[in-house]
Amino acid sequence: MKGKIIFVDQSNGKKYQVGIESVPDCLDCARTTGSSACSPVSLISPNLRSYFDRGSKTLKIRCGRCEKVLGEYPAELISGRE
Amino acid sequence: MSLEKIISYGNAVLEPENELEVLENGSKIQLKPLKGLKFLAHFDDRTYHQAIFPFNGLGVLPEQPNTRISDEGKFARCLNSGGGNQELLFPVYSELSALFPLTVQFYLKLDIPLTPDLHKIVERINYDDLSSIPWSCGFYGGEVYWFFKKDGQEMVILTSGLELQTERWYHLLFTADSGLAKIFLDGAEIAGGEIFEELAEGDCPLTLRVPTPGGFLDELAISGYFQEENFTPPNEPIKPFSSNQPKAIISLDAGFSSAGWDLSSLEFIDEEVFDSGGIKLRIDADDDNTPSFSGDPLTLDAVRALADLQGKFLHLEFSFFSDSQTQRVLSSGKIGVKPNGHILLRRKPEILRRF
Repeated sequence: MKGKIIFVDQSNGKKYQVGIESVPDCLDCARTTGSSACSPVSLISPNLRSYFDRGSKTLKIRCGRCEKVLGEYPAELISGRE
Repeated sequence: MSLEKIISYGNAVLEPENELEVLENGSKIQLKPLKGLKFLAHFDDRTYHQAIFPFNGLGVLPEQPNTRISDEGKFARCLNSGGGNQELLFPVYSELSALFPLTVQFYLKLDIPLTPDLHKIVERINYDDLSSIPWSCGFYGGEVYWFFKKDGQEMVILTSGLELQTERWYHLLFTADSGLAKIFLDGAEIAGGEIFEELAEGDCPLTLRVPTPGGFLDELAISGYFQEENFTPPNEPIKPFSSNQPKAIISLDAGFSSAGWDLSSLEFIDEEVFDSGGIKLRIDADDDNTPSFSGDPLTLDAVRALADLQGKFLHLEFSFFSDSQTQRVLSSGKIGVKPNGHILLRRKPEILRRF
């Protein structure tokens, strides 16, 4: 597994965890996350935009250049009640 | 006939290795160490303070294009108003090893809203392996993050839904120890979670960056402790001992007015620190307990050469001078006090402990 991201919702203090096996590439964009020599790409990268959707409890990772959604990851509640 | 007054300072110790701030509270000295301080940049100028072996003292921040200490002084900012991620601001090529437990804290003010870009504020860079960034902290997706990497695996603590206002100073603190990391905003925990049990260390350079185009950074401190609970952020600049000149004041009460304080009898258990110039004195005496010190601090020998002072109270002000290397220890002492020639002591003289 590449790693995990822990999100803390500032509206209610609930804590969520997302495990990510590998960081996705943007095949449509020359400035992709995996096309550089810096592989493996980090979970936080200038080439990515990560956004936690508190409604659907999912992490969405977009290409930092073309904004294409590269992956959606369900988050697991690890602290607090739903 | 005379009696002695005890100057009780047996526990007053200044340890420059640990850096100290001094709280004055009446006549009692209190020395509060800045917990495990390793690095401190006020951004008042390009110097920074590093309190870690082997380099203990001031360094100079190498300035990068488009970045500088603000003309207004007192903080750092980026002059480049363009968008996107900003490059290095102040790379600090110095050894900061054994950093865990670790706390990074600073004040931040934004003059435009955070962009979704990655804005690293403090980052460890391993130039031997650029793919390996042991840790970094800053902003990502408009949120605050604390990132760790070890053996190719990554852990990120990230806020969700945090909205930082512009034109307002915030205090941010990032802290980590084996297995746990937390983020505090203005002293309140806003995020935290489990991380690696053992964190990567090393002597790789530390890099500081600007928060975002148009952002301000101030009072950056890196320390070797873990912040467990909510706290009250400092409300004034942190002052390391070596750039401060802490003072301790004690007032002795003779018990009768117009007492004669025999300065030639002033002595301390350990006077080496006075001989080396590490501690100097100012003296005042009065009957109404309103200390007023004037002139430059004097050596102990110079004070002993002064004529006797008269007053019910004798006030001693000790100034500590640091060389950033030597521990300053103020030990207890004593001084003789004589009654006014027209007043007879009505009881047997006794030694009084003030503390």
